[in-house]
Amino acid sequence: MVAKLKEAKRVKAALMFLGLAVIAVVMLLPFYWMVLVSFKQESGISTTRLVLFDFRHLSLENYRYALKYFGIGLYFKNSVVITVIGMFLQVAVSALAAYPLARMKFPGKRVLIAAFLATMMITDEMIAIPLYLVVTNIPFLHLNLANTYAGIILPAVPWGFLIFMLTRFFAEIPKEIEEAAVIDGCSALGVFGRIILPLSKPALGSVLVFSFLNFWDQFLIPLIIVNTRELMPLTLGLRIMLSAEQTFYGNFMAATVIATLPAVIIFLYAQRYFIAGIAAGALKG
Amino acid sequence: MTRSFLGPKKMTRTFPGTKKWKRSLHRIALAYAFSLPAILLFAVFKFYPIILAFVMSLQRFVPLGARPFVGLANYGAVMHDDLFWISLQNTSIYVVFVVGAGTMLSLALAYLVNQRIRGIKAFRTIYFLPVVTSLVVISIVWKYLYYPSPRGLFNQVLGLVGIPAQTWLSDPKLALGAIIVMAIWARVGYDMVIYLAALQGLEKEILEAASIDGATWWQRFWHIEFPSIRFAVFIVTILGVMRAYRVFTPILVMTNGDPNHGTEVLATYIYRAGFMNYQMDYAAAMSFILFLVILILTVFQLDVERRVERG
Repeated sequence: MVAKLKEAKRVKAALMFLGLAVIAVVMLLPFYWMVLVSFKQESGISTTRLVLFDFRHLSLENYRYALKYFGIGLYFKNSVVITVIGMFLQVAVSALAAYPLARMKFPGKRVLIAAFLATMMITDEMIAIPLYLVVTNIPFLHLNLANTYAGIILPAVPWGFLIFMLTRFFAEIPKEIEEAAVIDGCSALGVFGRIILPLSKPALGSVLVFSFLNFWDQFLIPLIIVNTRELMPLTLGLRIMLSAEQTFYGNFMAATVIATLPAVIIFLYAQRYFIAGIAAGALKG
Repeated sequence: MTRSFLGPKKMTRTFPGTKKWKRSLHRIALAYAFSLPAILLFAVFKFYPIILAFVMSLQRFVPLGARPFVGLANYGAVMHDDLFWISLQNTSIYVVFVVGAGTMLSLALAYLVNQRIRGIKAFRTIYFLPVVTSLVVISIVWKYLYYPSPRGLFNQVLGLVGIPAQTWLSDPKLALGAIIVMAIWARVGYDMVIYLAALQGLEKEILEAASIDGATWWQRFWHIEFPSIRFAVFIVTILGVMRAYRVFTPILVMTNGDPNHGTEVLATYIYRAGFMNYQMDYAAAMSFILFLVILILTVFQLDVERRVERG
């Protein structure tokens, strides 16, 4: 009886594992294909043989081509600049706004929270046209930010979701710690910088990761704000390559591999922050 | 969710001139000083543009020219535009399938990866991989996977089982479905993580007690597990609907709305009208309609959740 139960359990576990493996293959297949083709010479892609198990004609030629003729290095640099500046600006602005929302009582607080949350429904796709007009002529300052890094970065900085997440994280820090600091003569900025931020390191990790993906994936805003190659991020650069007729599979896949690697590396390195952040952002409360 | 988050509404009253009053003034100034950068950025890049979209939609907009108000004329024109209705229909089909099938698949995935099997963490990582990949990259890779000649991977695989090569993205019957499949693949890992967190929050003892009492798999799911993850389901669908209605990148990269507007969605049509045809007023009217659609659906979903919660 016990042996039978054990047997059944083992069969169940094996089936489960099989299911997991099959899904893993489905999830990995496009990545595998992308990487494999990126190493294949154009002449080596056969119409009759399944590409997946065809390891002939491998070379680094496609990567050389992507770097030399696509100028992917330039797009890559732009993406890095936009992402790094955007990320820190976004997290700084969001954390500063979240601090009083989480730790202070003041009139207008609920309105402010509701307003920040409501913007989650206003997406770039809806405001693309007025956003273009705003960016080309910033109210009061009359600045034209078209074709500048600032024009790409600033419109993406306000993100209600991040403020929402940070407010929740900050609210969980015990009040006593903060009160002790105030008694010791710490200013509000001091409390924020020396108490709240260091205590929220895991939260900041999650938020930075979200912010990173947000800027690294940016597509619509650069699409309408930038029309010079000099400032284009990878997403736009790849789209331009796509429209160039003579490009081959392989060249292209080399470019996409280059564009994907940083995000994947950061993910593998900071995986727990992704997972914790998504779960907390959606469920806590 | 929001109620507990917003905190108690009551504020203590202080009287002008007192020390306490001065201190509270100081505190208020401080709070707004902290929020000021965010308030300015939200005002300039979120609220002002959405108001501007509404104002523009009521005007006849000629670049550099006067902008006379024309009332609801732009909206009237939108209502008589077949292409608008086609885009709305395509977007809605996309939303129903991506959110519907996506929600169920990610829930099933969450169940699978909630097992104690060796290497389960590696599986979670693999399923999550598309989420961290840029949507532009995913769209490009899948565009090539759907390559119409026998060189495309999917056609090669079909060829193995004797099915003739399909034209996928240029076939009006298959194009939208092909993009939907890609969108589900790209997103399923994200929702899985939300469900997984909800499932892991469940008390093990309750589940074990139910098993001992002889509850079937379905009873266990419907009476014990589902009520606890209901909130997660709600969050996943509400975020999913918001996200899916604005779909833009994959369409623009993979088909650009073709074949014959078979994959045209609201966002691509708005983009085309505003930035290709320079009908900014017309595009603004459609943008505002898209905003209203998402607003109404969100309010509706919040309402359903509230009713279910009350029982």
